[in-house]
Amino acid sequence: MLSVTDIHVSFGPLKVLRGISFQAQPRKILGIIGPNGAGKSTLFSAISGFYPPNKGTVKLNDESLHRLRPDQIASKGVVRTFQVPREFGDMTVLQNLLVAGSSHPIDSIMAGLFGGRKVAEAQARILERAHQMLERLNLTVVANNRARALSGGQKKLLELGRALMVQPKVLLVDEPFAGVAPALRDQLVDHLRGLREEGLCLLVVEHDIEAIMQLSDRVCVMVEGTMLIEGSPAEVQADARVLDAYLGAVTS
Amino acid sequence: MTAYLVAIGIIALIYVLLALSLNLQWGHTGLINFGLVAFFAIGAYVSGILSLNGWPIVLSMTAAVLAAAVAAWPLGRLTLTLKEDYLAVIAVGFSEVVRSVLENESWLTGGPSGLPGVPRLYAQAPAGMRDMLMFMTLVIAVIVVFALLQRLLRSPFGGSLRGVRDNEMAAAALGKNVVSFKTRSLVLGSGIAGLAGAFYAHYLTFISPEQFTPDVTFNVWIAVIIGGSGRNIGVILGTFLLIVFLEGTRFLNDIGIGLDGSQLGALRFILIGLALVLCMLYRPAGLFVKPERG
Amino acid sequence: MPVLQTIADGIANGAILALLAVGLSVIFRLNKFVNVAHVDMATVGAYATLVLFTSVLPIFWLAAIAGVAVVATIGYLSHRLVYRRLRGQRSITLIITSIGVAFILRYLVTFIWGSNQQAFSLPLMRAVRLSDIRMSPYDLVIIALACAIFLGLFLVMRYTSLGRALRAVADNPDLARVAGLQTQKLLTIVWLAASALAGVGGVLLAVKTVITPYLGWAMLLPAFAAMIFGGVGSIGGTFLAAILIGIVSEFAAMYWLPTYRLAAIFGVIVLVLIVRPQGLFGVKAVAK
Repeated sequence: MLSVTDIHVSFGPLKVLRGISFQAQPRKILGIIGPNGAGKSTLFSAISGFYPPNKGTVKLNDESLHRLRPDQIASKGVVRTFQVPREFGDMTVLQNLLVAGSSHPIDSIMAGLFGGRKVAEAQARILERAHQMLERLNLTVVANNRARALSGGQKKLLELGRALMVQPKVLLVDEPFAGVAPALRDQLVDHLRGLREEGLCLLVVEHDIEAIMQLSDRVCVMVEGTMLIEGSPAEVQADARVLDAYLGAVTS
Repeated sequence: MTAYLVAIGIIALIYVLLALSLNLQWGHTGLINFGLVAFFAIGAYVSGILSLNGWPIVLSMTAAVLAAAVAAWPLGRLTLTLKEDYLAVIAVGFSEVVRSVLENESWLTGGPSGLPGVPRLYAQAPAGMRDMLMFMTLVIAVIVVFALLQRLLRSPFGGSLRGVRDNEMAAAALGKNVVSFKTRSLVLGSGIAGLAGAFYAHYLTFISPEQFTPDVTFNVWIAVIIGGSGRNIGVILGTFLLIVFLEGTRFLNDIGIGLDGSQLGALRFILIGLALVLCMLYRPAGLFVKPERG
Repeated sequence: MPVLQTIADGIANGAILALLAVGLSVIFRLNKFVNVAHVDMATVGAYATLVLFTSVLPIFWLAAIAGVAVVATIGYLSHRLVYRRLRGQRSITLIITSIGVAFILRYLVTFIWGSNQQAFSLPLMRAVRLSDIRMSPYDLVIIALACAIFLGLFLVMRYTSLGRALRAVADNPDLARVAGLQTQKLLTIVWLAASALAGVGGVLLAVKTVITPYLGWAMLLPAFAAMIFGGVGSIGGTFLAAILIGIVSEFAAMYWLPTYRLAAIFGVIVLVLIVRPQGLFGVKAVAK
């Protein structure tokens, strides 16, 4: 369970997050929506250690993530994807997944030079998982293509696949549907639901309101760095303030 | 003639070691190590000084490799969290500081006049055989280093290094300790550069700070870039191309182009500079790598 | 008092360094890479002036102006023909390219004029006494000129529309372009100005010391140190930092060893990065 308590993030004089609190449970999908500039991606960066909060705490199952590096936080099971995909461009799609799947100590120098059978077996298991991931995400056909040559939507899928290879407990997905073809989007929704059933705790930032309402168990609306409302999709859609916030952002 | 080719071969192989070192750091990890010559120098001087003080060459060379590797750690600690441009310039500064220490601390290093009389490898062998034995030893050393590097770079460690190279933030988000990977790459590569330095010292038997200017670093960079960073084979080819160029232009005088020594040297560098600029503009992946189409 | 003398000498060196560093800093801020060839432009400036001074323009300051014009042109050409085509690439590509350009400039100079030391044949002037310190009139002119130039730069950046436009482009190039600022024209101006400043620095350096092909290259690390110590893009900061570095390096030469001047400057860089990575007046953080 991820609990975020009153986090503030400022860049100099600019206050981007002003006291966000919520809890995310396993087997639940928490959707996060809000107009541009609300601070949604910054929230993910704050949770995952890229912009440590100036104030407030982030805890994973009561263990504080304060002052941990992003890679340490990822090792503890909190993994994020990026809004603009950050694929390992010069590697193939399969290699991207393999790198993500090889954690310490498999990726140490010792293992690389003196690995022997145990390491080889671990690598075979990782390869197996990678192939399964390719299947699930319909990327098998481009498995040996350079990641930089993929289409935008495919890169998004790779981004998700890579994060999943790390076998996270909490997955922060940043705009998974952006640039993804509608047919694929439905598959993705199903896929994410499947992950939820497997016990994953999912936080999803999206602009596509329809998809979020379809997908989420609970929805948070963020406006200008604060949480406007948190509730079930029905509650949130019915709330007049939410409409205001979006219209307000458009007209201001 | 054979003696000449063997001599060139020895220098070429030493440069190949340097190129392999840089390829690990730059080609596979994306580190702009413009201070490579510092570790070359440290390897040369440590092995030279220790062997002059009675250490057996095998031990002094081992110490040289370790010294160079250890020396990489403070440079890494200082620069690996910085923007890449900063690493670049600071690394040059580092290598120049190392060189000024070599120049000034004459009680240890012989100062600007250098360190003469470094024991040769295979000192017992007859003069004609010595260079050949040195050459063979280097061939074996290069093969061993190459094989180990290939194994390492094909392993998950290599994949993680390249992940750090391609996209640090993504690598961190996937659980890779970016600074630790970069440091390990820097240290390992510097150890290899130290080995090259040790061989250099025991071949030339005379080392001085003048031999360890940033020009050496840039020569290796050129070999790695033009050869195509990333591919160890390409890098080796690039090195040989460089050596051929450097040696070949020595013969320009013989075929009637009347330039004096320093003009020839200058011309070489002008051509190298031009090659660099053109390479970056038109073939940034290197000469031996096909440009990617999409 | 020897300490004051050392400080005074340091200021003179620092003034020249400031002229070299500010161009480096501005190019870094705008084009996002350390232009290694920048300091070699200073060398070209010195040689261009030398050629003109010893042939068609025997009046020094005229030759110097013409020499600086030559450098500005070369700088502009390097931008136009080379760097502009690589805009947006990773900094390593640009740095390597600038190394290539640096090689071409430096070794063209060596090829044509050789690596022997040369000097401007300027009249020897007696040192002027200012209380306890003695300064060469040339040093005084150098300091005055640098101050005037920096004052001018500062005023332009602060109070003119050109300055505002430059700052906008530096902070947010995309926004600036959308807002209608002619980014290309601005970049041209910047490259011309930065190269000209390097040229001036080179001429002054040559006045103070000797002319060799390594004139500018030897100043790369000091200029870089001034850039990060002062804070990238801050004109006043670069000036102050350069003066301080000039003084520190002079002290190192006097009281430690002249050949450890560089180590002292390196030490400054290390200290700055550890204690205050954004420099004296820097805006952006240095760490990623």
